[in-house]
Order: sequence, then C-alpha cells, then structure tokens
Amino acid sequence: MVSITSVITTSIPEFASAVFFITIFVFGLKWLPGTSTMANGFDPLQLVLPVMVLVIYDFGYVARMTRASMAEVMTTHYIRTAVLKGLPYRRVIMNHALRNALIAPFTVIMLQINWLLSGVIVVEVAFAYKGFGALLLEASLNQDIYVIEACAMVAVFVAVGTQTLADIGYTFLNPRIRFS
Amino acid sequence: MRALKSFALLRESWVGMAGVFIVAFWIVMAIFAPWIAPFDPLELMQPFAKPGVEWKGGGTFWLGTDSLGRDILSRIIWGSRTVLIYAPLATICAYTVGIMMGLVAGYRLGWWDTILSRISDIVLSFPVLVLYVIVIATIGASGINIVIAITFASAPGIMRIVRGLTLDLRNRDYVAAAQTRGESDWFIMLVEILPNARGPLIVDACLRLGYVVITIGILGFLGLGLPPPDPDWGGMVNESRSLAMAFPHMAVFPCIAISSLILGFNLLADGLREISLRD
Amino acid sequence: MNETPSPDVPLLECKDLSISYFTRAGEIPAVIDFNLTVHPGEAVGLVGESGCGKTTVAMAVMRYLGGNGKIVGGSITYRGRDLLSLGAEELRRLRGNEIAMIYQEPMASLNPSMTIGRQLMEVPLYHDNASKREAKDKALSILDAVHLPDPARIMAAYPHQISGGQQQRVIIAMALLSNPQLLLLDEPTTALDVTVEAGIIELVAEIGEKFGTGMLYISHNLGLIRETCDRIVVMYSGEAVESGTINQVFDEPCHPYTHGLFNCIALPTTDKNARPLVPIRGQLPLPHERPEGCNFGPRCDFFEAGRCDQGFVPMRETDVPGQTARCLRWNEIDWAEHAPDRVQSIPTEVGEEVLRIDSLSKYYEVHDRSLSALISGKAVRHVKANEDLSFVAHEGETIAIVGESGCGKSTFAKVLMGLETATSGTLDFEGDDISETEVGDRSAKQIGALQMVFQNPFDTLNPSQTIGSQIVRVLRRFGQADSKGEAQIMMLKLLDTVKLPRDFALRRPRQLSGGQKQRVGIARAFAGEPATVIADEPVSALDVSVAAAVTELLLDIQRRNNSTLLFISHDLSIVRYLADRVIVMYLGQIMEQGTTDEIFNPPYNPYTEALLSAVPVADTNVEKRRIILEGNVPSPLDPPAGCPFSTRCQHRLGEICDTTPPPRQETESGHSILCHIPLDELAKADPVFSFKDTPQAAA
Repeated sequence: MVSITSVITTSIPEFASAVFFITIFVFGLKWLPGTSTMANGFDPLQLVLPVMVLVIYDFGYVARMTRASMAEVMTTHYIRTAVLKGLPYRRVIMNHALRNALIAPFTVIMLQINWLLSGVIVVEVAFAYKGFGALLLEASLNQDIYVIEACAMVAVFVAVGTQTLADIGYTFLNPRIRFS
Repeated sequence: MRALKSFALLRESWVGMAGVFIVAFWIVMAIFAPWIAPFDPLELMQPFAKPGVEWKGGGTFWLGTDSLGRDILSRIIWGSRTVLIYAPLATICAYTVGIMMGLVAGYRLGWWDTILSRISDIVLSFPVLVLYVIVIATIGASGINIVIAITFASAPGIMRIVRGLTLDLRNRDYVAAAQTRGESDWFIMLVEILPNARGPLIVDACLRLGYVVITIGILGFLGLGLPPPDPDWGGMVNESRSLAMAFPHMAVFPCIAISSLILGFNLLADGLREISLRD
Repeated sequence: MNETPSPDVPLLECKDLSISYFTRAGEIPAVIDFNLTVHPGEAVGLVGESGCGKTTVAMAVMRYLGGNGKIVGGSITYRGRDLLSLGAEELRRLRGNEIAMIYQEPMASLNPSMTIGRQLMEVPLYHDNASKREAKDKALSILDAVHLPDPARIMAAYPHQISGGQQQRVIIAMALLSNPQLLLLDEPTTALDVTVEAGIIELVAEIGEKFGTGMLYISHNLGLIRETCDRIVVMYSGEAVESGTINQVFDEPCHPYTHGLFNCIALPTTDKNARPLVPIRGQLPLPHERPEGCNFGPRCDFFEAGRCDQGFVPMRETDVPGQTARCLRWNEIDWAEHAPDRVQSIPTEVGEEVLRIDSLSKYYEVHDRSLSALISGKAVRHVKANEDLSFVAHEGETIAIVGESGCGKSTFAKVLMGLETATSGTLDFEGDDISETEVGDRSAKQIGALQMVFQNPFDTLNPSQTIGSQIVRVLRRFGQADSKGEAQIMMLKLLDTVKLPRDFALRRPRQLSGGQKQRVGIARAFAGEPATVIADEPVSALDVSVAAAVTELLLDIQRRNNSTLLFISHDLSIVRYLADRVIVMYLGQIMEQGTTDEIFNPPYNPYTEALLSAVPVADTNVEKRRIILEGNVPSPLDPPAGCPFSTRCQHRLGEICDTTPPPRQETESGHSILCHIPLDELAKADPVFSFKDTPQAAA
C-alpha cells in the first residue's frame, strides 16, 4: 500500500501535481485561490496548494526509502538476536530496528532539502509566487549574470548548510562514525 | 539471450510488467505517431475547443485544442517522440561519463579519486534544477543543450554509485587474479569490474530515466526546453499555464502523459530490483 | 526463577521432525525425520556440511524459521512442553530466558548503534523484571564471568569498538544472563582465529560444568565437537545419518558417510605420501535433487542397486546401545577389510633453489589526520606488515606459511605477486630480484611462472564470463598458445587435468559448486606451467568432503609439474599433512621455521606451541596439552617494542621480552626460533600431541 502510493507520488513531477491540484481545488471545487501572488498582503490560504505540491512529491520518496531501509534492517542478524533474546515485538521495532533503519534515509532526507530548493522554482512559477525561484528563472531568461550569481551563492549556502546539519545528525545516529 | 531470460523473470513481477506495459505503450505511440495522431500537431485549427468537440473540417478533438487551435491529442502523441529521444540519449551520455569517472576514481584511487570526487561534490552541492537553469541560461535552449545540461548534472551522481560498486568489486579475488597476470587497468575496469556492476546500474538507469523525463518536463515547463513550435509535454503545460484555471484540459492531459511515462520507468525499476534481489 | 530440572525428563527432544522451506519453486525439505535428545547438563554436537540442515534445526527449536520456513511434521518438546503449540507471549518468555542462542557472526549479531551495556541489560529487564540498577549489576558480573577485562568499559562500548573474540564473549554473556537451561551454539567460533577459538571453547566447557546447562553445539568441525561434546549427531543432506556417544562414533562409525568424513580430514596419522586423504567422490546433492532412497547412495562405495535406492531409509539402532545409523547395510560392511584405497605416491624430489627471500620488509604508511596526532607530530605511522622475512624455497617443495589474521601472510603474498613492492630486502625468483618489480613490469614468463590460487571460491572467478574464456585469456596472456584454436585445445586439456567435464567450458561460474570453482581456479593458476604457486587458504571455505578432493588435486598437479607450493593457512592439521617445511608468522615476523617434524615437536617457539594446542583434533587417540592464550593480537599499528608475542606469551620471562627484540636462534639443520628463551630450555617442553595407542604411521 505504502509502496504503491509512494511510487505514484514520486512519478508525478511538481508542475504536474500543481496542475492537478489547480484543476481539482480551484477549477472543480473552487475552494482555494489558484495563484499565490500575495498581492493583498500575506494570505495563508494562498500557501496551501504550493506547500501541498512540495510535500506530496517528497513524501513518497522518503516513505519509499524508509520502507526499503526498514525491510533491510529487519533481516539483519542483530534483529534476530533481539527477537531470540525474548524482547517484546514493540521493543525490537522501536529500540533496535528504527534507529538503524533511519541511518540511510536520513542522509537522503537531508539531500531532499536540496531538491526542495529545485521544487521551489517550479512551484513559484506555477503559482506566480514572487520568490527566490522566480527571481532566478527570470534572471536566467534575461541573462542577468549578477542576479544568477547571487542566487547560485544562496543555493550553495543552503546546500552546504543542510549537508553540515546532515553530517552532524548522522554521527548521532551512527556511533560507528563517531569514534573512528 | 540473456535479455530474454531477464524478461521471463520480469514476467513474474506484476509491478515490473505494469512498467513494461506503460513504457511499451509510449514507445509504440512515438514510433507510429504519424499514423496514430488524428491531426497534424502544428496545424492551427479551432482555438479553445473543449475535449470531444467535433471539427468542421472533419474529425473530433478528443482532448480539445490549445489557445492556438492545435489538437492536444496529436501534440501529446508527437510529443512522446521528443521525450523518448532526448531522455534515453541524455541518460546514456550521463552514464558514459559517470561510469568512466566512477571506474577511474574507484579503481585507481589516490589522486584520481580525490580530484574526481571533489568535482562531483561541488556539482552535487548545487540544487539540481538551479544547475539546469544556470547551464541552459548560459548555453541556450536546444535539444542538444538539454542533453549536455543533464549529463553535466547527473554524471556526478552516477559516478558516486559506480565508484561505490567499484570499491567493492576491486577487492574480489578475480580482480586480484587479473592483476597478478598483469592485465592493464582498462581491461580490469571494463572486463572484470563493469560487467559485474551491471545489476544495480540497470535498476538505477531506469530510475534515472524517470528523473530525466521529469527534468525535461520541468525545463519545458519553465520555458527552457525545446524552442516552439515542436510539441513537447512540458512546453504544452507552460503555454497553457496562464489559462489553466479556465481551460484545465490544456494542461491536465500533457501532465497525465508525462506522469504515466515516469510511473512506467519507476515501476520497471521496482520490478527489476525485485528480481535482482531474488537470486 | 527456573526450577531445577529432573534428570529423567529430557531437556530438549525432537521427534520425527521435518522442516520445509516454501519457495517459488515449491516445497524444499530442509530437515527430514530428525530425532534428537538433549539431557540436562549434556552437550550434544550436531555435525554436517553446508546445507545439511543443522542450523535449521536450531532455528526450529527457537521457532524462528522466517516467513517461508515451516515445521511440517514431528514435534519439539522442551522439558515435556510442546514448543510448537506455544503462543507468542509464552514463546517470548522462553526465548533468551530458558533457551538461549550463540551465533556464528558475533559482529553482525550485535546491534551496532546500541551500547553493549544496554543490550545486555535488556535481558534481566524483560525476563526478570529487574530494576535498572539490578540489571546493570547483573550485566557487570556476567561480563566478569566470561573473563572480559574491565567490564565497566565494555558496558559503555559499542560493538565495533571491541575485538571479534570479545564480541563473542559478550554474546555468550548475553545468553547466560538469564541462567538458561539450554544453550544453542551455532558455529560459535567459525569466524574467529584458532587461538581465540580455543579460549571460547574453554569458556563454553566451563559454563557447562558450572551451570549444568544443556548444550546443542552445531559445527562443521569434527575436532571441535570431539573436544566439547558428550554425544554427536551427524547430518547429511537434511537427515541425521548417525548418532551416538563421541567415542562410539569417532572410534567405530557405522555409516559410510561418517567413515568417509574421517578419511577426508587431516589427522596426525595422515601423510600426503604414505597415508593420503581419501575424498568422498561426487558432491553434496542440492535439496531438490536428492536421490531416491538413501541420500548418500550416489557417493557411497557400498551402494547396492535395487536396495539402497528403494524408498525411505529409516534410522535404526545398531548393536551398540545408544548408537544409531541410517544405513541398510551397516552390519554387512566389514570396515577392516574395506580399508580405503590410499593411493600412495612417491615424494617429490626437492630440486634446485627457486625462490630466495632475504630480510624482506613491507611497511605501510598510515596517515593519522586527527588533531592530537598533528600536535604530537606523529601524523604518519608505519604498519610493519612484514618485518625481516628470510627463507628459501626449492623446486618441488611444499612450504606452509601459518599464522592467524593480521600476521602478514597475505601482504607477503601480495609482494611476491608484484601487487605491492617491498620496502626493503630482496626477493630472488629464478635468479632475478623482483622485490621492487610491480606485476606490470614483469615479463609474461615471470608472471606465468609465479601464480596464485585464491581463498574464496565464490569470487575467484569473474561471474560474467564463461569458464572457458577465462582460462583461454590466461593461456593467451602467458604466451602458452599462439592461436585461438590452440588455446581452446589447451583449455580443454586443463579442464581434464582438474577433473572437470569439458562442457564446463561454456558454463558460467554461478552454475558451478564451490569445489568446482576452486578447481577452475587451480586450472587457471597452473595454465602457465608455473615454477611456484601460492595457494592462499585454497580449501578453507570448502566443505570437508570437497576440501579433501581439492587438496589432493592441488598436490597431484604440483607433483606433475614439480612446482614449488607456498601454502598459506591457519589450519595446522592440513599443514602437518601436506607441508615439507613450515613457517610460523605472528604480527609480520617469522616466529619459527623448520621442517614439519621440527615444528610439531619440541623445541617450540611459545607461539607455535600455543597454536598447536589450539587446533582441534578429531582423533580420540590424540591427547593434547592445553594452553589457553590471554588477550588479543596487538594492533599492527602499535606492536610491542620487544618480542611481538610478549603480550600473550605463556612463558614470558619478564622485562626483557617487552623491551628487547628476541634473537633468532638457529640449529644446524636450519630450524630457527625467535625467542629469548635458550633453545635447550625450550627443548625441555613436552610435545603438545601425545598418542594413547601407537598410531599406525607417525607423521
């Protein structure tokens, strides 16, 4: 079930899910505004669709990774040890499996923040939000080198920042790194 | 022969078969586009027609027309050609570069490894799309440039995978055996190591094909794809973006087309992974 | 918490047990009609080759067969309780509490991201409702009981921070925490070095005595079972084929397979020329290709068509009480008359000097990038992988290089093969110094003349190429064949030589068994008619019956080519069997070298003595002197300043051993020992092995 949902959500590019959501919630149900220009000040309703689009793609991806990683951990010898030690099932899952299963997806999740930055460009264009992505796109369409450079700098700072955070988090999760 | 055997195995995984079916469907569409498509994809007929409207010149716009009056169904069918030519081409280029870099880095180690890994770290630290936008903005939008941009942005990721596999395989005894009989480094990399890394690489290639289709779509959506008027799925969404709230059909159908193709590649990758885990 | 068991109710009883795995290919029977009884305080050994179902039995007792394993018949009772009808909660309370298990791979069996203390404390916390304090105290005392130094430090450590031997002791401690009645040991020492293994075996024996725990000891090693168990069950291809007390089965085996096994293993009474090993012909049947009737039929010398291949063969009592065998003809065979044909052969003639190694050293630089290293200025350290090696090898001679992991034997092989260059010293091969010639700079003739057989059959061959093309490549490379056709013919001849059918040329490695792959590996090494072949533990990963055949093949080809064989091994039994001369290495240095007789008799280097004593011997006639070493092999990064063995030595003299490198003492015959203790003092030691009866042929 999780795997089917997640394979479908990872197969829909952000711009496509934006189009689908606009069709359903704006054109069909008329619940939400279709643009997020924030022309009349900040409006939380205008954020709903862009955030949904960003979340749904990553959700599937992370769910897939975690599931695969969990399935792998459950076949390891140390889980066998924990079960044959006579621990309750809950304890085996929560204390022995989960933490080890999170090690691999964690780095991926942190890399996803990088990917989110890409998603932001698409989402901003789709919902006409004036932000970082739209600025970069406009600059590149107009060959505005200085703005591109500035945007690239910001992007790299974000990337390096998340990677540093990822590395710190990783050493907490994985004691094998910590002391070597 | 071997391909046939893998296919026979794949038949036992329904996920994989679903993927094969979807991808095969689009390949058939692309090959037989001139015969399947009801209209010329570039012909300007009746603007803003809704799905199912009949044309006075004969025939039905099953999926409607766009703002210039071109038939959307025909454009989607012809558009599959664009995607199915450029996506595999870009993936193959990215793989060729990535495999070479990964083999050299993982086998030679030392300075080669340090330099190649640093380069790929730098490229990978940029958000992918920012990278595409910058590359395309610099060299201009065209089919070949899309291939170059994708190669540039994905080769480092492929290199990491190949490097990891090489690091594992280089310690196998058959590699040592080849070394002790004095084989050249290239023979060892290409004959002893690469063929044995093919399993994970094929699965990854399928997944990456999906990503490349997404990328080509996004580039089209951002107006950085193929220059008009050639049909391109992402471009079609882009052109109808401002009208999406009034005429959703113009954007929805190309979106369904692109999502289904990506789903096909992803399912295929899942199926291949399933059978590779089995033995 | 556990009441004392009454002696007449067996602790564990498996009755007519059958277990199958259900795969896509259908039902695969893993264990058929299996019977076993373990009484309180008794140790029962379960022996068999890979795939015989011995681990499945243990997992069935634990009721842990995975998603596709199922018990399809029979019963398992634990102290009269039916284990198969237990609910999940009852099962949980039994596992790890009354029945505990010790595993083959200690590192993989411990959770890498949890401290050892927490993993240990879980047992009393969940089984005895202990408080955290009590659990901690209990864990500390049990770590002490398994002789781990500094329990408090171990408690706080993560599994990767302690050595393999220590990890296994932690696993044992974990199993003992709840005072179990029954202990299942699944190849507990297979992944460990011999001297470490000896310590673990000693510990297990001590536990049995102290706690009266019943044990089921699973192993492929007959020697180990003899030294640890009271009774033994021999399994073959899913069935128990013979059971009885150790003395019954080892002295008077009834089943042809058991007989075959004993003829396959190197014992102190075997000798490569006078009393060679007798392999069992054929190979283990795959579970879905088992023959009709007796599973061992196709490999048995006493097979009777129309009888042994008809229907199911039941296990039956022999005329010795307590001994059972699954053979229709057990009382028809006169074993004395059917002593196996031992093909005696003439010892190879030792010819001219082929290889002369003189003060060869290989150091690796290790860069330490930590801050403290940078400050103290010790950023670059040297690992002395090989230190001052000197020896000579002659044509037709077999030299064994013996040592445990990290002793530098593999590094030496790399230097010899030209994959690494030596730091200093010389390596004369057929007159040329090749110590600094990398393999790429050696001539095709030199490369072909110095070849290697690798350890692991599962990756000795490139999986994506056919057997034939891999051998042809070697032949072309060494200039043995000028044309493709010629190479093809030579390749087929080589397959004949290693006794493989010619149509194997078109097969891929994954269609071959481990033994067959190793034969291809041997064919490849001998393709260039080498003067010298290095064999790096060529049979250690193979099953006993297959290993004997591969060993004999290797010796046979060596005799034919009159090649020099450098046999790298950790197994002293096989070394004693096939070597003419032995080199014992420890931490990169040669501790002792001499002829095989000299090595196996006093004077011993203390390390050799301990190593000899650690080797399990599957012969009830042999008595061993027990020497258990303390501690671990020191890190090659930080070796002791004096004698490398000083930290563990049982004859340590004092200060001098720690601070001064020992002298190399040599006799006139060339027997040399690295030790501070004078030779005549060392000569006073008793032999490690002694024989109860006079053996037919002394080694």
